[in-house]
Amino acid sequence: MKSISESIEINAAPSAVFAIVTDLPNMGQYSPENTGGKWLGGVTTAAVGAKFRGTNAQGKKHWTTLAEVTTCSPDTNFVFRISSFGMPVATWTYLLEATATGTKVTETWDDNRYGIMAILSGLILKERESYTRTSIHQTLTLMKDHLEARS
Amino acid sequence: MARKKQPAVESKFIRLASWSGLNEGDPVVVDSERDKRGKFTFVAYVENKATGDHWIEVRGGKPGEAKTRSFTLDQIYPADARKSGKLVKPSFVEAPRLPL
Repeated sequence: MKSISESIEINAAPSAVFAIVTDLPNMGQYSPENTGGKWLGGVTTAAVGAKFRGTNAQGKKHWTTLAEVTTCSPDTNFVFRISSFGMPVATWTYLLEATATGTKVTETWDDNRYGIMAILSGLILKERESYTRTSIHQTLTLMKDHLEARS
Repeated sequence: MARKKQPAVESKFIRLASWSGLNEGDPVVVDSERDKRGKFTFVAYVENKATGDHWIEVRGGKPGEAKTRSFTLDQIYPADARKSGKLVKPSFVEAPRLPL
């Protein structure tokens, strides 16, 4: 199982950073792949068990995924699992640590695809790893720019 | 008088007759104490668009039965997964197959 992680220091309080990373409907402002989405089942905010239908695009390709929040500890930890038609795809984790000047955010992508799916998607999406690395970097950088411009 | 054309009603559900290498009618094993001796075939993967809940529909049951039943994804196993009453192979969620 592959895992990709990157950290960034943001000059903003953990509560401000947490509000941004848990605001999945607006994640499209920062992510190069996600274009938004909506909470399902009457949910309006992140909480453990909440489900979210994410919309994604890459070039001409468009697809949706289902995210389920598994950890939501205010100002410290936010985790959600992505699946596609019931098949596990990935887990995204945001770890927040208060620092002297703000917050250190670590974003992690864990590949949850199993067996032959993992092998074949690895062949088909050979660039997925480097794309995910770039995507995490861009997401964190844009979050930082957004939050620091406000302060 | 000509009838007004009604707009198509969008289904509340996503239904897939092919899922994880299974097609409608393919035999599956269901991990359920009550249905241990039942025989089932795959019908569809179903997802509620509004809630994100999902399940697998199968058809079958005890010999002679042809009821449609719903189970969670991790309860669905390949047809050859049960040996001497025990599940010896991973479920379709643990080891997805491709629609070949």
